Amino acid sequence: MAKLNSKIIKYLNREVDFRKDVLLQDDGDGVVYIKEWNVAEAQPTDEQLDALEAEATTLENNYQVINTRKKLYGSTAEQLEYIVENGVDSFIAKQNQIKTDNPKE
Amino acid sequence: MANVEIDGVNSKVYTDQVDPKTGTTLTLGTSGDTVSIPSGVTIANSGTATGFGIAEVDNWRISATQSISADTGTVVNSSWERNDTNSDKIGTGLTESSGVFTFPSTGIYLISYQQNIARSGDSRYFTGSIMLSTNSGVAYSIVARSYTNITQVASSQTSSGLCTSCTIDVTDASTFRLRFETDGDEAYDLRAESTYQITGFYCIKLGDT
Repeated sequence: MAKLNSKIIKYLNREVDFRKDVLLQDDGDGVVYIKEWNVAEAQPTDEQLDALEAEATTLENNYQVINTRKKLYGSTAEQLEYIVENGVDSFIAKQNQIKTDNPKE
Repeated sequence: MANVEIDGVNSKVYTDQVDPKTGTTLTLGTSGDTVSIPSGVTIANSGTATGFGIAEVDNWRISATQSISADTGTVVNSSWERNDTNSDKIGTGLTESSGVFTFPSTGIYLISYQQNIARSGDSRYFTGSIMLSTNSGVAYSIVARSYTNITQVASSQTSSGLCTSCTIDVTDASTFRLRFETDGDEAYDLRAESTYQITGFYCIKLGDT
C-alpha cells in the first residue's frame, strides 16, 4: 500500500514540503494522518487519496529505481575516475546500461 | 506545655547546643516559617542530611526498534522502559502511557534526549524533538529539536544520532505532558536496545517551580 506522502504528492502533482506545506503525524500507533494542511488547494478526502493508490505506488517504485541507479553510478569522484581511466564513451555506455537494467515504470 | 518566650527583647538565645527535651526529634519553626541563614554563616554537615539535593531523577529508553515513515512526525512509542541496568530512579519518577510521560510533581526539570537511527540510503535530514503539552495532551509544541542526516557509506544500513536538551518549568503536574517526536525526509529505523540506552532520555528535577 502506498504511503500517505506519496498520495499527497500525486494529488497536488508537485513537490511538497512536508515540514511546512503539509504536516503528517503518527501518534506512535502506526496510523499516519494529515495534521496540518497549509497549501491553497483543498485538503483531499480519504476517498480522493485512495483513488491515487496506483499512481502513488508507481511513484514509490520509481523512487526505488532512482536510488538503485544512484548507487550503481557511484560517487562523483568514482565517476570522474572512471572517465579518466576508460574515456567518456565507455562512461556513457556504462551509465546507459544501468538505466536499461533498472527501468522506471 | 505552654509556649515560653525567651528574651523577647533581644530576640536572641545564647547557648552551645540545642537538644530535644523528649524523644530524638528537634523541630525548627512551624509550617510557613522561614529559617534564614545570614551571609557569612557556614553550615557544616558531618551527619546525614535528607530532603536536600536532587528529589527526582529518571531515565527511560525504548527497547524495540521503531520504523518511521518518510515525512511524518512520529511519536516515539516503541516499548519504553525505565533504565533498570545498574540504574534506578530517585523519587517518584515519571509515568508513561503510549509514549506520553507525566511528571510526578511541579518543578523545573532538565530533560536530555538522545536518538540513534539507521537507514539504507541517503536522507538530507532527520529530527528528534522534545514536545510539551500544557493542556493534558490536547496540543503539543516543540521545546527542543536537533537535526542530523545520513549519506550512505556502504551497501548496508548507515547510522546517525542526535541529542537535544532543555529545561521545563512544570507549573501544573496534572496538565503537563512530555513526549518525543522524530521526523525525517526519508523512512528510517529508530534504534533501540534493552540493556543500554541508544534512544532514550534522562530527566532531573533541578528545583521548585
